[in-house]
Order: sequence, then C-alpha cells, then structure tokens
Amino acid sequence: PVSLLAMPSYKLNYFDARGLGEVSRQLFILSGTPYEDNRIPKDQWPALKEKYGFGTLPVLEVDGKQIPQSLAIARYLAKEFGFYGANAFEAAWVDALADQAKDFLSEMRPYFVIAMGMAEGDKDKAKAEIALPAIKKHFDLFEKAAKDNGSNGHFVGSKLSYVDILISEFVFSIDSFMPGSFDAFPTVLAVRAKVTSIPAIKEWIEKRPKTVT
Amino acid sequence: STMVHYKLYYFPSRSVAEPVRQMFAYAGIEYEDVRITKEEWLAEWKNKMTFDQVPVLEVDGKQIPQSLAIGRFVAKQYGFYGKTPFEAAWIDAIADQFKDYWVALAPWFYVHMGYAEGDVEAAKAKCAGPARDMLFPHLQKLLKENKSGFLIGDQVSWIDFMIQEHVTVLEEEFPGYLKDYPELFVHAAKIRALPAIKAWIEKRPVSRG
Repeated sequence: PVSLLAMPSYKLNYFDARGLGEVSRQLFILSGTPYEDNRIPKDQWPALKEKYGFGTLPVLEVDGKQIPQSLAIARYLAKEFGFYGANAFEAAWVDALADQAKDFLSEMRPYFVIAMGMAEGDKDKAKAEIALPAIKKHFDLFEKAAKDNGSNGHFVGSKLSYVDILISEFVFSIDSFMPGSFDAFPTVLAVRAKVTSIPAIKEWIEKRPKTVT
Repeated sequence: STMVHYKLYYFPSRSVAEPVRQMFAYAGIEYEDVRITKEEWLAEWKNKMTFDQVPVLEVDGKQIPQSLAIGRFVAKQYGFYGKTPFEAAWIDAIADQFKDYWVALAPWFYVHMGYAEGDVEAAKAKCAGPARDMLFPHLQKLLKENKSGFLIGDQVSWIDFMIQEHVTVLEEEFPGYLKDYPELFVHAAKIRALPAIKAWIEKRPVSRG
C-alpha cells in the first residue's frame, strides 16, 4: 500500500466523450487510483489547443507533466497498474491487438462521420462498403486471438489487460450505431462481458456521462 | 544460456521494419532478416502470417504482428525505451504521432512512389502541409530542448531510429519538404553516424524506401 502522499496527481484531459480516453479512465477506476476527469467542452478547445503537447487530446498530466497520445497514456497507466500482460511476449500481443484496434478505428472513420451526420453520404452504402468489411476484417482477427488464448474472457494471457477494455469499448460504441454487429464474434463478446462484469466497471458504466461516442 | 532465435519477416524494403533492424544492429543481436517479394507473399506467405500482414517478428517460433508492437518489444528487451516510465511514455507518444502523420501523408506518398494511382500534385496539395504540421514542429521542439541530440532522454531510443529512417526517405524522395526543420537533418546524420548503424547502412540490401 502506497501512501497517498507518495502517489502522483493525475489529471486526464479529454473531450466529454468515451472515445480514446475511456480506456485510461477505466484503468484508473480498476486500480482504485484517484484522478481528475477533466472534460473539455468542444467550443473551448480551439483556445486551449496550444497548451497541449501535440495539439490533440487526450493528454495525461502526471504531477503537471504532460503525456500526449491516447495509447501512450493507456500503456503508461497499464504499466503502472499492472494491466499489460504477464511477460514481454504477452505485452507485445496486448500492444499488437491495440494497434490493430486503432487501425480498425481508422478504417471505420469514413463510416462514422457519415453515420453521425458530420459528412454527406448514404448511411446504408457506407455501412455496407466501409463498416461491415472493416468489422469482418479486424474482428475475425480479434475473435481468433481470443479463441487461441483459450476463450478465457481475455485477449491475452489470463488476466485483464488494457486491450480487453479498449476493444470492449469499441464494441459498445459500434453496437449502439449498428446493433448486432458483433453477433458473429462470440468470443470477443465474452471478453466484453467479463470486463463489464467487474463491479467497479459495471458501476462506472452505469454512472458515467452518456455520450454518443 | 540459450539465445533467443529471432526471425523478422518483411518485404525487401526498409520502411516500418528498418527501426527494428537498426535496433538489432545496434544491440549486436543476431536475427534472420527474411525479405519476401510481392509474388512470394501472395503465393505462399500471407496465410502463414498471423494477421495476414508483415512485418512479423518470430521469437523462438512464436509470432508477433504489428510493426509498432514489434518495435516496442525489441526496444524493451534491448534498452531502447528510455530510462523511466515517463520517457517510455514519450517514446510511445512519438511513435503513435508518427503513425498518425504517416496515415495523413500516405495518400501523397503512395502515389508518388507508384504504389497507387492518382494525381501526385493534387495529393501533394492536399496532404503535404497538414501531415508535416502534425509531426515535425513537435520533433523540432524536442530536439531544440534536449541537449543530448537524441529525441528523448540521453541515449538513443527506438524512435531515434524510426525518425531517422523516415527523414532519410524524405531527403531522397521529397527534397525541400523539411527545409524549415534543419534540426531533423542534424539528428538523422547523428543516428546514421553511430558506428553500428553506419556499419549496418553500408552492408544492408539497397532499396527505395
């Protein structure tokens, strides 16, 4: 047990959204670590942009020192709190799946902007031509990884890692746009079920701000 | 002790595999540098690779996909990940920012290299400036602030190799693109001059990018 005085102060700066900041929020919650959940309103962002390392959010402040980039933050916290696999090889697979999930998100972006009304386009066409192929391509890999790992409710190893949380959140978000999208990936859904059954996470999901993404 | 047996699978180019090859070279680690041509890839290799992608690093027969995951693994094993968790986080952040920049640059880069069809001037007008702004002002600031000449901390790290390789490609393919960022050329020259890297550059297979 670490004295509260020795613990760093943590401030997570992000928008009022789950997005790429949510995995880090859940790492704080799972580890029982207090942190400031600073949600910056979108209209305040342009004036504040210069304050933040790479001009993007999220940014984590640790005793006032900034760390940019969502997954750099998640990896830093996962290392601190023990959600990074049991050894170097497992850590590499946690990282590989997280990067694959980020690639998936990039491929989904053209669909998201149309589905959320931020760009012109035929939503059904975007779903058929962009979203469904992206889901199949990446979730075939995630399903296989979860199965190869023994269908134990984790993507890697035998303990919760940050990629379990990351992919579970993406499933949640996309399912809200396209219900049933992941019915073909039951082992992935089992990972999400395991994450969301953790009491602290279950409680957080119930009480967290409800946002579209 | 039994030495780990490494096999790195990639195409016959530098690109995203090169930082890994440079870390192995610098640390003096033996590995099989497997280079797969496009024809070989489709004919026999694609379905041997766990994510249907390369690069893959095989570690005693077990595969790791995704270039950045491979980079992190090797960096951690051989001391190219900074000296503190905070330095490691910044190394991670730069690697991810580089990838975001790369995604923004790719439409122009791929057309320029002939990997994709398109109007190279139109792509350049759209991509070049915004992509550059995502990355190089930040790298320039880090280099100006860090007396060691490395990007993060006081010793060479994974992202020094990554950035040096890409700046080299920019020098070759897009001279003038980084004219406002001379610090990046000084940095690239410093990394290339490290004896183990200099030796590797002299003996590595020649490729365009």
